[in-house]
Amino acid sequence: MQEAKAIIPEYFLKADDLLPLLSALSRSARVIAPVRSDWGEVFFQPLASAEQATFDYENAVVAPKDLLLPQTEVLARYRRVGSSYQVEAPIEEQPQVIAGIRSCDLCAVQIWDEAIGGGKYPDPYYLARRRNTTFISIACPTVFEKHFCPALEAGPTLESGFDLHLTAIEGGFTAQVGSEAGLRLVKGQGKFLRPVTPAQVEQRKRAARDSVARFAARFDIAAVQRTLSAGEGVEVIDDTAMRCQDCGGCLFVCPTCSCFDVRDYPTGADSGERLRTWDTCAYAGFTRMAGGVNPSQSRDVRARRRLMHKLVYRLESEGLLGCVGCGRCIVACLGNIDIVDLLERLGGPSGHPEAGPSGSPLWDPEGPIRGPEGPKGGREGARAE
Amino acid sequence: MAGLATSFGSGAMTNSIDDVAEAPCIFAIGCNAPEAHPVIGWRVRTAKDRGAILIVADPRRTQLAQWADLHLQLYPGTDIALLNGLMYVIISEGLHRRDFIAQRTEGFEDMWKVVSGYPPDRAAGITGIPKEQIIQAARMMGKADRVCTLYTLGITEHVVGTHNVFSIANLAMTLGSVGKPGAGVNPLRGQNNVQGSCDMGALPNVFPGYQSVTDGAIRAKFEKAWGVSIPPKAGLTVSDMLIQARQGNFKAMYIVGEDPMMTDPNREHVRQALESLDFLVCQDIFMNATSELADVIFPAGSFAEKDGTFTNTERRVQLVRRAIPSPGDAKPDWQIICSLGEAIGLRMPYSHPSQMMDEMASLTPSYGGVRHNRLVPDGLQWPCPDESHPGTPLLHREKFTRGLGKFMAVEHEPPAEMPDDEYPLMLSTGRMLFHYNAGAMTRRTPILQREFPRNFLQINPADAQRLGVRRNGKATVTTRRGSLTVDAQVTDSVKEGVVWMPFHFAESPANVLTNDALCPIARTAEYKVCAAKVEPA
Repeated sequence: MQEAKAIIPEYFLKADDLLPLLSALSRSARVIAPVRSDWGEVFFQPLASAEQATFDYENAVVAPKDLLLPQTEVLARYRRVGSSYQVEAPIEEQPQVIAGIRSCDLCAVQIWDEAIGGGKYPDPYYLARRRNTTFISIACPTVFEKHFCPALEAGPTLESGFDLHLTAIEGGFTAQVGSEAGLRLVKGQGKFLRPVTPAQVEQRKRAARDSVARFAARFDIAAVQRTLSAGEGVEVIDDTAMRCQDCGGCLFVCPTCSCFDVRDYPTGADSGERLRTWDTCAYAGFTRMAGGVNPSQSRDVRARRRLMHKLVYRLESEGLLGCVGCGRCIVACLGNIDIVDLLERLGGPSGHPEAGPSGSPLWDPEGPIRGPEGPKGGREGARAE
Repeated sequence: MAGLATSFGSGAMTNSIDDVAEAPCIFAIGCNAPEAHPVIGWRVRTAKDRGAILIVADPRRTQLAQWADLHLQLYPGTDIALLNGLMYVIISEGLHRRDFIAQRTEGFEDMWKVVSGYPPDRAAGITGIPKEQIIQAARMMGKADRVCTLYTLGITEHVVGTHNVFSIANLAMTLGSVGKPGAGVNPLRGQNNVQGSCDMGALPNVFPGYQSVTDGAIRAKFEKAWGVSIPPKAGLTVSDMLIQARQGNFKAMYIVGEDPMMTDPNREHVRQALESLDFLVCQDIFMNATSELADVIFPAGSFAEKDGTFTNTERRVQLVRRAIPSPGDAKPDWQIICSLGEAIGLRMPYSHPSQMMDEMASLTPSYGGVRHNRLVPDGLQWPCPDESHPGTPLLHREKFTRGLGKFMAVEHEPPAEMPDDEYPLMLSTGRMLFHYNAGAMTRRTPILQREFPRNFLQINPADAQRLGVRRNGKATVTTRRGSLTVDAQVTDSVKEGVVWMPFHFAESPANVLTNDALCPIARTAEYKVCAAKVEPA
């Protein structure tokens, strides 16, 4: 990707041309974008017309993860034919463009590409959707309240790892192409995507710098990882467990959570469907054994496991942090569990001797990436210049 | 509901959900919000995080009790003794709000005559709560600027249910904590639309908006609007219908969206009553234990398959919109009811629920300004008398709905069935997070079903040891009405002498055990306490 950086093609998209571009794209793909409901909340939704889309928003209530791994999907349909079964595995091949995705949610897709689409058993259902999906991501103008992406190098903007990436500048957006899929997307759209000027590139870089100017990390992720891995921070975990009401909301809105459950449902006397549905490891029953023994019966065990999975195990298995700092779990929590507070208490400047002084940004937008432990904690492309 | 209507003139939450988060002191009695009302549990948590004092009275050490500054672990069915004991301390220490009592209430002196008989020693003796804790709780409440009281079925599901509510209202008025933000008396409704069903007159004695059927002028208004003649007498409550059916006096029932075989007490009594009927019609989204007994079953559409409104616990009328078509022959409830009405010759020419709301508004003062097109985005809280009215988040602000708040003096009375030599334990029943009422929906949801696949009994370690009941072993619970064998959950969240069971499991229904003794006023049964014995199985 370092090499790719040099040849990233960049265009200028006039503000008035964004919706017409989506209209043009909708001729060959299903276009999905943020839509504001009557209740004022924003959800990713297939567009009936481009005018429904809104780009004046902080983030969608849920990440568009159900477009890659639906909340419920049919993995197979089976029917008895004579003495054997006929099995059909429907794999969806529908081109889709997801427009308006934020940097953090796109970083979450990178995790899924490793966790679900990679490894020894890549998931064919996921991969089919993934190869048919092109993202138009959009940089955040600032780090919104409750968001903490810079501390995890997952935003508010990206410099690589995207398909087509928009950054708002005067009169419109810069549009950077970062992948083959992005190149295919912009092909033939010259009407909307005009040559970018050096001044506009400078504006884009300034916007990226400005977006993090007021952000100060409240924790040192490496210190948090040390505390958790050492089994310390018991009081913090106990407080979390006491507040948790087992609703699972934090995990369903989390862009990186990927637990699922697979079950067979009869559709008739001789037929059935195998369904996959989202599940959550926050529920005690997720790990209960057939005999009733449960290694994660108590909430404190589950609370610690959740943090370990996001901040330690994901790094070990996928090489990426499992939290992208979108802040959705803070908003969803009925127990007022605030993951930033948690991380501060587990590895914040005041709570941990090895962490930096209070209020100093973990990530200096002008300086080099300070990953938790060198390249191991780094997230590809997730930083401004 | 009857209780608050008598004391204040309105049987609903006095305050709003968000308002709970503003309370400086919260008193939750017979209420486990984090499990049964998580959205309100959130507000309690927020209030606590902002520094509120939380006092919880519950026979079990629930999650809410674990959040509390003070947990008053009383015996089931001793709420009035506790409430009277609290008022005794508040009043005798001069912490009551004299101005409020003088200006806005009546009957204080008569109440004091009764309450003065409940010094902390006596209250402690009845409730099993240490007397120091009763004094401490009373001082915490008395010294707080305002107290927000929350209660649910732990209060109402007793033979003294209505008296319990009177007593809660007495305490709130003693503290001057009504008609103010972050205060009030707040019964939390357990279902999305139970408030709406009551508001719409799904009660035997009132028309929509709690207008009495015995009032001739009101009856004339509805007779004119509907073109029918209406009997001048209040009808029977569900509990009384079952009693009358069993005696052969009540011939037919049309049950919509309810499963009394699962949710009514003393299942054997319910079964005999329903089997005594000449004709039973059930309308539901799934087959259930009651519709097994039906002559005719109407398949209904789920919440996602209909337009209309739900009125939630804070009196907020909210719009529901159809998201998916109904499968098979299922139809939204209103269409089934209208078809049935037309078939028996009634005029029900509605093509959309908004027309019914318009009609309802024209006949119901508290819904007078409610129209479907006013319900986006936030709905409207009744009373909302006209179309320019913004709704009423807070009741009884200047004066009570009935004028003066009425103190109703009540004495402690023991539950209908107390432990004895043969049945030495108190059995209480209730709800849990992962299942909802009869389980018709949640037990068909695999992940929820996985969380709690089977019924269980909570029993204190001391009782378990004495009886030989082992952790994760089986225990047989027996009452005068029935017997069940379930998993034993040995836990100190119930106190010695008390056992607890949820009622969501059709194959192991807690209501074979419960007592159908009724509150004489509200006709609600005593699900919360009966005498039981437990043996290892």
